Amino acid sequence: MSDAPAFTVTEFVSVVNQTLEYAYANVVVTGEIANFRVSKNRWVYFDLKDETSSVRFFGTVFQMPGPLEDGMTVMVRGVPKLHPQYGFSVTVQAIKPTGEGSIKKAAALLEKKLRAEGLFDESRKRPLPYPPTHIGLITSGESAAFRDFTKILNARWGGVIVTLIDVQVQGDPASAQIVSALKQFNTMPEAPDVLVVTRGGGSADDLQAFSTEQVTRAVAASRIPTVVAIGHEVDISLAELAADQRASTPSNAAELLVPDRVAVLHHVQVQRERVSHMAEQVFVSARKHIQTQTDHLSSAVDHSLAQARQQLKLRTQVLQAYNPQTALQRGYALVRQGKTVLRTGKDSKPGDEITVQLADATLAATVKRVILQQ
Amino acid sequence: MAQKESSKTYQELSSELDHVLASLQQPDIAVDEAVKLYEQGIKLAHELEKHIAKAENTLQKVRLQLSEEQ
Repeated sequence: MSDAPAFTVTEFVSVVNQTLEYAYANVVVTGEIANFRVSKNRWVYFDLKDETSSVRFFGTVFQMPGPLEDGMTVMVRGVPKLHPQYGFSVTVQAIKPTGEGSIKKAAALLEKKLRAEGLFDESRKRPLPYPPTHIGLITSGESAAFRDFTKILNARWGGVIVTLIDVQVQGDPASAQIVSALKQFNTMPEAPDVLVVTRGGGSADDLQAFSTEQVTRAVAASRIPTVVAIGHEVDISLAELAADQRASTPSNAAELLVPDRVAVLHHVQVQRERVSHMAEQVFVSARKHIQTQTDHLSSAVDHSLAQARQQLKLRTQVLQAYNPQTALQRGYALVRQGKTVLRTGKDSKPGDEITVQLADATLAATVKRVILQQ
Repeated sequence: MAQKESSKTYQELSSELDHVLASLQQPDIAVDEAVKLYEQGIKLAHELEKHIAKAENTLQKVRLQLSEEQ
């Protein structure tokens, strides 16, 4: 009894904590959640248990990967501690579901919660600039995803600026790095006009970062339209649901973002031919119209001239009919005394000197007798 | 006098001829007056003829020019 160290209760708590800190500053414990509860929307309490044991855990809601519930298997990293009043517990530092069933369950719960908040609503989706001028790319710079994306992008369309923020796309730091990259792009003075978060395929565990609450919320919160492209086949990650557009692979993301220059050139060529053909049609019809107008004009002026000629001919004929010379040629004669034309014989008397004008001569004559008609 | 007449328009000459014809057709017109009017009418008809010929020439020239351009 006397060999054993003796403490007050406070000293004992302090010594135990020092010992724990020395021996196991950090531990990772895997087990099934029991008695899960949240207090004041802030504090989280639960037990981890297996067939024979149970240990208490304590943390904050901010450290949770998403909603959790009893029966799920999780892996918790934390600091073991003996509390002066409430006894032994592990203070949570990080927590993640483990085992296929629990991962799926956790994802389903988180999806339900975020869907209820409207993060995946169609009405939130914004159109992407087409084609964009500056792409903010969030992926691993060493990855095949990066190479595929840039290769397809450049093959289809040139001149797009791509700014890469190199992140880990799996493992513990992935989630925080992706969130930080999204924030960084959103606060750049000359921000890209579209963001692409991408990686190639992998196991459900590899892709976990793209279904965390933090990444999903950061994608939904991005002021810049965002494409999430994860190369997997079956499950859709939550970040993809929150994105303005999802793509099936990194290459597919590049295809969505920019048109194929060959197809565009072909389209332009076809359009140019159409326009040229249409213009030709317009000219042909305009020419035809002008020709018709000219013909009308021509026949109108011909008609008007012919009419003038006809009219002139008629009037000349009338003029000829009234020509006194015409009467002389028919045998009539003009008789003058002096310069006066005689229209009556009343004032004439024998011996008067008169002239008689015929068509071709004028005769000088003297009146012999005047015979007045009854 | 001839120069003055040629500066008249077709319309002016035409109405002068109408006037001459109307005067010629008066029943009590003096023969001398009729001869004078007749001469005047012939001159007017000649002037009008020149106008029409000139218009026809112009038209032909325009048509020729047009067909050369095409």
